[in-house]
Amino acid sequence: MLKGPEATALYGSQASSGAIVITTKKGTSTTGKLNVAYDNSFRSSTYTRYPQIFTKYDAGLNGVPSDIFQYFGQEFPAGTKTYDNLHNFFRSSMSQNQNISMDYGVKNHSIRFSAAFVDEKSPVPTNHYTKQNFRVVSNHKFFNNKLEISPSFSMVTSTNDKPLRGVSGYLLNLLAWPVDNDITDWQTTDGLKKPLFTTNPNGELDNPLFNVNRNRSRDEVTRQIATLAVTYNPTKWLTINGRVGYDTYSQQGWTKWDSSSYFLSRAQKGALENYYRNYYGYNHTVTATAKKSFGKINTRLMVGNMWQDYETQTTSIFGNNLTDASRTDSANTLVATRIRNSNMTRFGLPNYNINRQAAYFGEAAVNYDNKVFFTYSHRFEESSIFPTASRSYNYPAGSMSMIMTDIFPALKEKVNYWKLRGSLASTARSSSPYANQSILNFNTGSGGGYYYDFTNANPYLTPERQKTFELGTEVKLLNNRLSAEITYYKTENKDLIAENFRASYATGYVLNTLNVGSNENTGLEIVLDYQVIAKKDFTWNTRMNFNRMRNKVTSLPSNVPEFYISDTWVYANARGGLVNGGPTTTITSYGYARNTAGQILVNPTTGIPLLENVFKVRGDRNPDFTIGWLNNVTYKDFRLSFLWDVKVGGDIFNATDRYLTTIGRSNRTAMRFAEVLIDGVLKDGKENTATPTKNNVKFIPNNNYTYYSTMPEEAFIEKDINWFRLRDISLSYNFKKYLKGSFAKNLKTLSAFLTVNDLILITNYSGADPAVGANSAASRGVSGFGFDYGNMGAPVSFNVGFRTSF
Amino acid sequence: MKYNFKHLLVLGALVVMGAACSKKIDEAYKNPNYDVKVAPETLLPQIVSSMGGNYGGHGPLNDIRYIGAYTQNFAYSGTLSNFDRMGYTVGSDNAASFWRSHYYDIGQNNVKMIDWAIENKQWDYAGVGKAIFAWSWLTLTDYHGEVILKEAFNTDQITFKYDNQDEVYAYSKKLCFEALDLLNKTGDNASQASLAKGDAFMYAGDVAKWKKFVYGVLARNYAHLTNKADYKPDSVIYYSNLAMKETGDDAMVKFAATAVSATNNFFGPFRGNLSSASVVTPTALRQTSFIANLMNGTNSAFAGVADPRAIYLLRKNAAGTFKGVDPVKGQAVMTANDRPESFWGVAQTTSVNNTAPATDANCRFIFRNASPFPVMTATEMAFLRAEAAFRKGDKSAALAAYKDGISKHFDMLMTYYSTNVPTADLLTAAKRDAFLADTKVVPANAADLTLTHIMLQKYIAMWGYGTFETWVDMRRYHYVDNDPATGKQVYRDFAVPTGTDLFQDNNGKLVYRVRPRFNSEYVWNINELTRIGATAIDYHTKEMWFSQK
Repeated sequence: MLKGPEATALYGSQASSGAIVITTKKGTSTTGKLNVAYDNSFRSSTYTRYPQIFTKYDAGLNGVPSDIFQYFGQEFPAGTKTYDNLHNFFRSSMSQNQNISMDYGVKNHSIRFSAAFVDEKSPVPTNHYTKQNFRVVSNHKFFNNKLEISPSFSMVTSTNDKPLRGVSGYLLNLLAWPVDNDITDWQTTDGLKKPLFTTNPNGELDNPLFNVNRNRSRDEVTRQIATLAVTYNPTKWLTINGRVGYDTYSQQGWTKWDSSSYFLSRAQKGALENYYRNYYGYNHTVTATAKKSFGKINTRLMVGNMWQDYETQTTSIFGNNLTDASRTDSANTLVATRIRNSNMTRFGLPNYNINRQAAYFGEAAVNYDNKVFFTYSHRFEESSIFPTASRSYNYPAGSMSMIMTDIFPALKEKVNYWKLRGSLASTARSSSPYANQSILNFNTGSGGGYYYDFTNANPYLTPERQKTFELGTEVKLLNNRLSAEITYYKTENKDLIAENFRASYATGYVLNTLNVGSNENTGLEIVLDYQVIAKKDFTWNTRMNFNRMRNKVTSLPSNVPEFYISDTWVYANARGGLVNGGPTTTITSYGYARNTAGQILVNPTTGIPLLENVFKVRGDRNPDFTIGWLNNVTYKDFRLSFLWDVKVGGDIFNATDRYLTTIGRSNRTAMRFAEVLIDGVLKDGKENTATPTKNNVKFIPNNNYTYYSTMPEEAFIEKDINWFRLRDISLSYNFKKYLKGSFAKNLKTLSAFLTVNDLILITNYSGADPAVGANSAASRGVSGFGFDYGNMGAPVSFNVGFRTSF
Repeated sequence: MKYNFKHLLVLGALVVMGAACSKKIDEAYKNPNYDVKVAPETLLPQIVSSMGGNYGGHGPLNDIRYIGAYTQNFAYSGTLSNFDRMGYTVGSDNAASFWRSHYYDIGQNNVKMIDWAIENKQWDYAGVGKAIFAWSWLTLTDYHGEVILKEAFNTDQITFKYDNQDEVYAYSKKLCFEALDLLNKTGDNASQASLAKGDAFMYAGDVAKWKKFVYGVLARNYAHLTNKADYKPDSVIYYSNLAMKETGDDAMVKFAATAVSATNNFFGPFRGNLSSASVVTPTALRQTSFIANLMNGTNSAFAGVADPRAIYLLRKNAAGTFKGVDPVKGQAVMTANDRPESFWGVAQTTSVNNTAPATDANCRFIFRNASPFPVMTATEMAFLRAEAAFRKGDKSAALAAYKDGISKHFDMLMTYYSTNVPTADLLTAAKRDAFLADTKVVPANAADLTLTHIMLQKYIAMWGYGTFETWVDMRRYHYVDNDPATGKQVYRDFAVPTGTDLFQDNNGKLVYRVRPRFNSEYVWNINELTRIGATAIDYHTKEMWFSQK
């Protein structure tokens, strides 16, 4: 783990929040013997946490039956056969994972071969992932270890069969499916979509099982990676390191919609999207490091150069009117319906995404007697994403640390070790390629030609800037059994690139891309590590990781009252909207209309609350703090480890519940015959006076289903959600005491383990699982955590396996 | 020494490598997937089509559907249209299509066309670009009042200051002279053949006609200022004489009218833009009683005159007569046989029918799929001359120009809009001359000519297409100003909505401007709108600079 100047000098903007460096295993000298290691893991996963659904009523509105997917109809008569569709849909899935490696080496030369096989099925039917990974690496030393060369080559192939997920996927239809219909009976004897209400299959929601079986998508990837590492020590004080990496993959995939799917119209007769992607990546890093000591002063100087060249070529073709429901090649679509990406239309070429970057960097480190350390680094970058004028930029970083216990040895009487450290680092981040070049579209009107696309892609775009300030201390006590690490940090992001936001058309465009926003994060991290028991046969180590983060939007485009992250706007009118001065994790949504005193306004005729259809801040997703608590206990040859995960505070928009409420499937709609009197005031003209009329209009929701179907998003923002979760618990046993004697002459190690993931969840959240997000953590900006729409959360998984070497 | 030499070699290699990297980086900068720079001739077609209605349906044609109600060119087929009531639709972009056309559709495309044309020494394209901007800036400020001028097209800005109307007038005039300078420049890469490539749907590369267009913009600029103390009728006469003189000079946006919807006239049935039946988007339009009465002999100014042009412009009813719908009241209050057909020739006798027919076989004038749309015409220029001469006191010149204006409208209809007119009703030179000889229309003595004659015949001559200009005219006369010479309303028999027929937010006042486009300004530039008072509930009734003394 590298942080501060060490990370940014070497790895640049990608490491602006630190870098985790993973060193893969190299071949080691085995003095002429062949070493083999093998391990495996078999996993079974089952969903145990489902969204609660309320299924007492049949389809209809206001108590009147009708053929719709809303359940405000009549109560099912006693004896109606109903099905547990939710549970019947999912399966207990089996996955396996096997790894083998072989090492062979003589004095200065060694080779290692490894292979991994993964076969994963998820609890969602038809979802299947496979991966095969082969890698060979060798290591050669020459000239008295002055020169070391390690070439490697790996090849990875993977396939992924996946259903359509999320909003247009299976789960929402599953929640909405009539309980008096058996979802497992989804096709006719001819293999067609079985109708529910209507004879037009495209006019009716897809049975979730039909959906996962017939609306499919698949990816296939073949990847090759070749690397070469060279280390040369011409003299004692100088080291030259070179690393070269080639990475290339070709990916192809398709998504197919069945001709009778709800997602298509009758005229489309099935649709197919194919894509083909080739990636070529090359990078090299060359560094020269000199070390020299002058008395008690130790110095180190590193200079280096990095070159990155990444190119993606993508071709996509979408078409409909499939000639054969089972084929997945684009020739299967009607010629006239085919839509290609821009470069295919223009030149018959794929769309390119090319990103090249050169960096020169240096780092100087000085320490006095290994007690006081200073480091300064500077990195100069040149990126193809920016035009000549703003292409080159640079940023410095510096850090200082002191080992207090070495400076003042007297302290050692009280503490074993005490260190203070501080750093300042700045980095720059670029936009996506081509975000600064306005593009021209084809004019379909008379005369043809071109016109500008909507986006003002600003040529004056500059890199985003990040500044991080960090202060920390490390203390070890009680004979090093207790250690504590406390870190405070503050990160300021400036000139953030906001892409495609709206502004006055006076720019000559509709959407805009500019360096406009800024925000800051401050946080506190505390890591406590305590060796509770340290006996020969019995040890217990506990480690607690506390994290508290606060964030703030410090500036936004001046014309934009609320800047929202489009990835988070997945359902209805609630989204991750930012306002100036607020946290970056707010939820903005529609809500109840209120009078000046904050009382809910009620419609004087219906008794139903009035709505305020304005996006306002109504929640904050950021937790007060989180804690990870890891325990490792060993007893003789047994080892038990478990990780608790604690989150306190933070709001969640339970969009799933809102969806269920609008269709009469939420438990909120259970008491629909009970008279409701909303606690509020009537909007009768007196609502903003000193004496507003207290609401006295009662209604029965069963006869006014709009009370449920228009319930505002505000009502579904669940406040201060906590969880206490057993992330994983693992028990392993080492068979070393049985490995003596002739029985296992060649067996070096053997151990077995059992791990359970997500076994226990204690939460005040009403949905299936509070650890949900509207998108993956890879999304740009603040991610979509805290938006629960059609998510299942994590299944409970049991893993067993063994590990051996010989 | 040898040691140093080795170091120098390494250093040299690094420099070479660095330079090679910079070159490779530069090669990767440009977007390879789309064009970011194109030839000026490929930008002009879309710009020209935006002067009517472009691929996306943006341009004056779009807005005429709404503000045609203010001038009573059109009335909504139903009742209580926001626009018949001289109001607007809150929170909507309706009637503000031209805002988008000017800033976006013409906007940056035209800015770049001019820049790149000058780079290429294509003076004609640069001149045409400036001519179009001169026209669109003037049109924009006449339509919205205060607009963003000085800060416009700054791509590095997100909020924009508004400028006054007189500044936009001055800027448009400046652009006209810059355009003329460029259009006068020959040689280099300017040629008729080259300009014709981009100009196929307007003037086919005829620079002389583009110059007339520029003079037409100048004539309008001076003509709009009749209420000002420094009104210069001689300038109007001077520039209108240099502008379009014959129908062949008319600036017509043409349409390819292929099977692709976007290449068809916005008003034609293929694009089907005259069907929306709601008071907030009232585009299911009919002719008004005002225009019908002007042409059927009912209007007191032309009593008893059956205008032979009526069959070109207007629709008959089941009784075979020309009648119109009263604004706000809708067609349902009329007897079934009196209700005019829709502009696509669909009968209204049984019930309201706004459907678009499969073909335009029963459509006429600008309501056909392939009909050209006039942006500026010889007939308009003649009427500008007539009004200026009249105000100057040169009544005989005014009468001659007045006759010329009517005559040029006949010519325009005969040249461009004879399709689907019954043979017996086709206009001829003889019919035109007979009409001009009718003293109920054209007084025998110049002394008998009135402003009412000029403005009402101009109203007819510009009906349906010149609505933006007609609205300027009517606002100059504050809709209901009296002619001091006759003591009667200039726009004789024109009745403005009153009482509850007038939009509730107007505070009893008539409409004078269209608010800036909602989704551009009211959402994203609100601070500046607040500063200029555009957030007032009756901002649309605030009088224009040009219509004030």
